[in-house]
Amino acid sequence: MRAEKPRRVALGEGLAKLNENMITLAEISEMAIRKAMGGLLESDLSQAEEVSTLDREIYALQNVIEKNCIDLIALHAPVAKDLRTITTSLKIVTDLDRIGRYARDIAEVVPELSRAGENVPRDEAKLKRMADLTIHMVDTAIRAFTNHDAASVRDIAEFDNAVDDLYEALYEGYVHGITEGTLRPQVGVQLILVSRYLERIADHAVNVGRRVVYMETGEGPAGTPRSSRPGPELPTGVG
Amino acid sequence: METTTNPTASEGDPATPVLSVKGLSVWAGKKAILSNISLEFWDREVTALIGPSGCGKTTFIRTLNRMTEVSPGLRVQGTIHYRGQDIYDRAVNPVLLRQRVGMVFQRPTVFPMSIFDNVAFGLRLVRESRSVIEERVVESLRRAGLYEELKDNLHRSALTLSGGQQQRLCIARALAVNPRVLLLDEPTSSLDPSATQKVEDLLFELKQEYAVIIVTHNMQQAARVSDRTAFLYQGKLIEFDETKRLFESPREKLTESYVTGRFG
Repeated sequence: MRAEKPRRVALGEGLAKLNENMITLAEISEMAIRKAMGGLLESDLSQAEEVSTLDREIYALQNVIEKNCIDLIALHAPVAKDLRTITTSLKIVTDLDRIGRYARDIAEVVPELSRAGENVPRDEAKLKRMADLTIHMVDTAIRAFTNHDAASVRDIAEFDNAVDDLYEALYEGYVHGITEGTLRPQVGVQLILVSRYLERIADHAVNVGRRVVYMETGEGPAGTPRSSRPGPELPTGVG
Repeated sequence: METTTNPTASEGDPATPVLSVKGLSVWAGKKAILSNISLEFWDREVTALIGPSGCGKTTFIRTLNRMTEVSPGLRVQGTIHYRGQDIYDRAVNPVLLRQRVGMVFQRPTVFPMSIFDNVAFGLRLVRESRSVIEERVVESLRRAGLYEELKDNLHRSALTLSGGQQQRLCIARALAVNPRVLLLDEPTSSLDPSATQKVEDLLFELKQEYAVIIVTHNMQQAARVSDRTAFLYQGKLIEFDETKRLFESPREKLTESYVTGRFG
């Protein structure tokens, strides 16, 4: 084969621009979740307030990327790896947008908890562990995408199981606190929601990971079963 | 065997390929044009052959109905079976074989005679009756999507037709002698987009009844019209797979580079 210079220069440039935008979007999404959890765990309102701005940036960039992808498909009829990169980007932007939206939802809880006082029992060790694992998963999935590294996300589902276990434990703890009267329902419900948002963010990280494997190898994600893991059970006497 | 005695096409066994190529090599002197190619073609499917210029695509399809014998100096090794029969067997009549495995060329090859006579040409060679000829001409023009356009002008010179109509007329002529396989060598390369679309639509209709094998330089066309695609490079079969697999997730790096336009 002769020495090859890409002939489809315009497609190559379009893909480079797409990659650049995807990396930016991924970095903003990760920053949003870090700041949201930082705001929550450190009761830092300024960090939480930044998340709303980041979420707006994520939404705007998502729209730009979608337009990038549609233009590339319409103008260049991409195939093989080029096609997989574009369709994966189209799918991943939705996951990253949802991660940004959940980060904003978490950040919106911070002022309410702040008003509720410093002595709210938050089960902080477990919540922090859950946040660390979730952020690690998002970071791993995003790095896999930007580094084109399918191998690094092979075990991401195991982290997801750990996050799910923590969610169940936190959920039961918060429900217990509410029923025992040690946690005000208004606060308990917000904390249940925060842990639920983290659990959903982790699921989106798994989606991103699976799609990176498809983008790089062509294997999956068609036929990948939707997770059927049940949510936490309500304790007896509740519900 | 139908290529030796019976000119009427049999339906054949759907569980066996209509054409089976094993270890095919073609030599021009000491130069190998094709090297050790094995693949199968199935009834009611469109198979596309893609690859850069000079990769051997056209030579390959010309081996499938012994058109290579028209070019002196080519030596064919390996076997090609049509419905289980070795087409290079001495007992096979190449004229009958070419009725079963018909060919349409890159540029329309209409004869300087009427539209009707163009389609009837092969039927007259095998001395079909006038009523059979009339019936088959109309049927073939219908199948080629031309009858409604031309039914009032069948005795007009075929040379007055547009390029797209001429190419579909060539397809009708091939269909008239009741083939099972149609070989199309870049059939739309000289046509405008509208005429190309008509031929591509026609391929979709034809594959309901025939095995269609199309050589194309246009990869989007291969992706649009075919069920399976074979990628040839420097006389070798690099990859042969379902078209959607080959264009979405090719197994070979060389295929990936070619279909994404990184060489060729």
